[in-house]
Amino acid sequence: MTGADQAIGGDLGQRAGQATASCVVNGVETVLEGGLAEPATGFLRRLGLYGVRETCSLGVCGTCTILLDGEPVSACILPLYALDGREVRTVEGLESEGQLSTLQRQFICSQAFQCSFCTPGFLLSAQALLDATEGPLTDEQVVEGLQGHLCRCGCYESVKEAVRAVAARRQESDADGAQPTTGPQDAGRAAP
Amino acid sequence: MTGKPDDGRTSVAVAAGAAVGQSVDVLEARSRVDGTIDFALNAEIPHMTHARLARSPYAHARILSIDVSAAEKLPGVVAVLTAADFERPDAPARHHGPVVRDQPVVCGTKVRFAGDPVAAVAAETEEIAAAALGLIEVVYDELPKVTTVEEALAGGAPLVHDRPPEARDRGYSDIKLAGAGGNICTRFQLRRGDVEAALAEAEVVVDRTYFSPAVQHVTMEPHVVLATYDGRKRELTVLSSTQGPFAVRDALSEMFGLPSSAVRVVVPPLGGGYGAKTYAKYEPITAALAWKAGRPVKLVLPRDEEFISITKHEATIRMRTGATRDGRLVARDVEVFFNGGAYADISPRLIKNGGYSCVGPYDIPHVRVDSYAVYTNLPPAGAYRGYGVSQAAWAYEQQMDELAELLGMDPVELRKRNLLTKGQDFATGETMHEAHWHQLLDKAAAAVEWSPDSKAARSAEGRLSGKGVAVILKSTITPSTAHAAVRLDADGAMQVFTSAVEMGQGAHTVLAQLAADAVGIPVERVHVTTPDTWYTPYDQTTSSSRTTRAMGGAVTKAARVVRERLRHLASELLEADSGDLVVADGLVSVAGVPSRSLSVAEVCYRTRTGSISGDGEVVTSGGLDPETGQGVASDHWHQGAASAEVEIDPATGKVYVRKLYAVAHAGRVINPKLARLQMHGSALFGMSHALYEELIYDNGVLTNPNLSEYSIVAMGDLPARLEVELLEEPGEAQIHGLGETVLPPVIAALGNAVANAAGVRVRRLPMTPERVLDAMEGT
Repeated sequence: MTGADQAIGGDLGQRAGQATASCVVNGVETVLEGGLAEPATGFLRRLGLYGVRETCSLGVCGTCTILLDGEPVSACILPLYALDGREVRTVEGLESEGQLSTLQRQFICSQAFQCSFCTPGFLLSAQALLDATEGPLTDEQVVEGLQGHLCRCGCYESVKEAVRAVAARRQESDADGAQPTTGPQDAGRAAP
Repeated sequence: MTGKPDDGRTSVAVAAGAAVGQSVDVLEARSRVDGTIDFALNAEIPHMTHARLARSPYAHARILSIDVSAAEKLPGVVAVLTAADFERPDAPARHHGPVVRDQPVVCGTKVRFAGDPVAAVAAETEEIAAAALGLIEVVYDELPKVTTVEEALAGGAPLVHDRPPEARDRGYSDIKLAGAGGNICTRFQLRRGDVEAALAEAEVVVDRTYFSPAVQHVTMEPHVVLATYDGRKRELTVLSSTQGPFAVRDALSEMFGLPSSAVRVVVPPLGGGYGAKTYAKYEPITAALAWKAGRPVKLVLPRDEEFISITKHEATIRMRTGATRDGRLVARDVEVFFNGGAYADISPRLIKNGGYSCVGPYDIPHVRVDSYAVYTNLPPAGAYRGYGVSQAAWAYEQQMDELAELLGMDPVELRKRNLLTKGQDFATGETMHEAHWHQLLDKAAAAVEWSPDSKAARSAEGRLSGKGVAVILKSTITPSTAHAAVRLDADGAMQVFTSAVEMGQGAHTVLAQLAADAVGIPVERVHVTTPDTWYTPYDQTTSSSRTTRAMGGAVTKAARVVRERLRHLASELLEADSGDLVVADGLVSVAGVPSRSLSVAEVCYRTRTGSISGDGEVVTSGGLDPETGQGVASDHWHQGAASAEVEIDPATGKVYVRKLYAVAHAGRVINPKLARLQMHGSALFGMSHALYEELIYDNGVLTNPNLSEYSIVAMGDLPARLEVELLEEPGEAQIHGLGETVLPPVIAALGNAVANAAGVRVRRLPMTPERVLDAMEGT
């Protein structure tokens, strides 16, 4: 904790005379509770959003990524006060009415994860990339959008495949109705 | 298929079916993409406290005093554990270890690596526990240290362990300790033929030394343990992110002097393992702290402490290989030094595997291998995806290329003249019942359009390009034991009871596929339990690429028992011999008369059956003599090959991977899309080790314990082309694990490709731009 953090630190709930700090988490107005300078990860996990996971604690691995007003940021180095008045989206907010998003369904089909500890971060940055672009994406565009995410299991090829499959389909009419496609998983099998 | 008699305990051959061989989505897929998967990290129970560990800043020091009184007084601190607590008559043992009980739970008289725990704090919050660490006063008297193998083996070197550590009472039958003394923890040797005479007569001899650094597993999820000790019942419950539920149970039961039934280990899905979570790691200290605190304790290891928790062994391998002019290998003499760090962990087994693996998949008549686990004042080294074979293959597959160069021979051709074939004996004296190396090597060579005159070239941008191949063998833990149970319920749903750990590899999904087909019900009706040592049958560990074959075999046998009982129950109802009944898609039918059929639910209802249970096991045997290395090293052999095309920027030394290809013998693939990912993961691990990863110590203190200064492969580093392939067999075939097979050859293939491009060889990993440039400038 730096000196500056300590100066503005303290308990948000105990700041007398001030309106309660709050943000919108996955569409729900939520009061910020906790130390002002504490990382946002702890607050979000206390809300039961276990898809927010810390790995490097330095903001370099992408695992704890959340969308802040639609932009991917590392929650592990984001002080809680930075959420005030903002809109936060975590992986739990990707589905709607109990239905997984097209991207989530494609991640399953393309098997774009193994241990899946890092998956929420990949999904959120990929969603931000899809939201910011139109039409199909090249390999390079996906890499640029997801370069800040580490996956130790090494599922990068499947992640690229999943994101590109969703991007490719969105130009064919309505993306939400699109069905996930199976990948080249049966390729590369040979009989001796 | 294995050429061994079926004693009812051997693995099984399976054919593709309704579920087996299909790219079934993983059972828990939804929870993996919606954030709800229940990692140990999420665990919370009433009255839970939070732990942090106080660690030594010195690599080697005597502890003169520890004062924890100020820490204990900090509001919110519940308990502080030190070595003094273990003086109590009811205290657990203060040392543990899977083979040698040399690792203190908390250090008493001295610390042996920078990071060795000296105290543990339990507090109401993690922040309070962290603050309490600063109040613990330890006075150290720094001692001379050894951090390299060379220092550790020098005459008069300081001893990491003043007295020879005590072996565990009930160890593993394949590990026979030999040769301990000084800083040598244990030795393994292999003797075949007369190496000295053969080398003296050899027409060509290559003698080189190859180095692999210590690297870390970097599981995205850290080690997490939640321990509860009930002093009245004398019961210990531990939820842990471990790959070895029963290994942890046994370690804790020995440490606390409790019967195994009083220790319960529960294992949720893991956020990656790669060997880092095999055997007890942080369970002993968390459990001891819970014992002291009288309240549940949860430890979530911070990332910087992950880097000093356990590592892949640094290895220095001196290898001499002799051959005839026409490229027949005649002898190989190898000295392997594994830097084991401060504690043995599983080094005594790993140095054995890393020792005999230096022979490679080759027929060499005269072999001598001396492999050592050496104690140093570094963090302990242990199991790591590849298990000693990465280091061995880095040496022998580069040496094959160096030998080829000396002989003026195509390196692929040199390999083909010496690869083991079916029915030949390996250097351990065991017969190779399966040998696919010729085909694997051919495929790897073809994938990079290898030709005998494959020579380095210069690209349009002035980059140097080159190609390399490598082929390897890898053993699996032998002997090993897997048990499973299956219960078909009256509604036609099925439970698989297994202690196989789901760590992202898809173990539970492939077990469900195997169980579904073995009974004849849809895979959607199968549920797989999480390991819980109170309820799920024994399994040795989820490691060594053994789960799909060993546990898969046990589950298949258990499910076949269930199918037989189901057919027996249905035979009277369907008025047919049970032998004439088939079970498919949840229906029991008379063969050839589909109209005469009953659902599983109807059979159970009409026979008043509540559930149908069965169990199964796969138990393998083997082991090696520690003096001669003769015997059975492996129940079966993992076989793989890789090839690479690289470009090197001659101005910077940076290596660009244009193509990476990896191929493994799979026998029967259970789930193609999961199998493919295991291959991708292994290949990228290999590439990461080849080019980026190294733990760097200064005075025994790790200087890069974070993901900013310790690089692992990211999406932007991917090879321009990454291709993987699996060799399958028709009909019923044995299952071969794929978790590690292509990791070692990828490292070596990249080494050979870099040497081919640069015209000089970098024998020290990782092949950083600096090292490549230095090597090129040295010529």
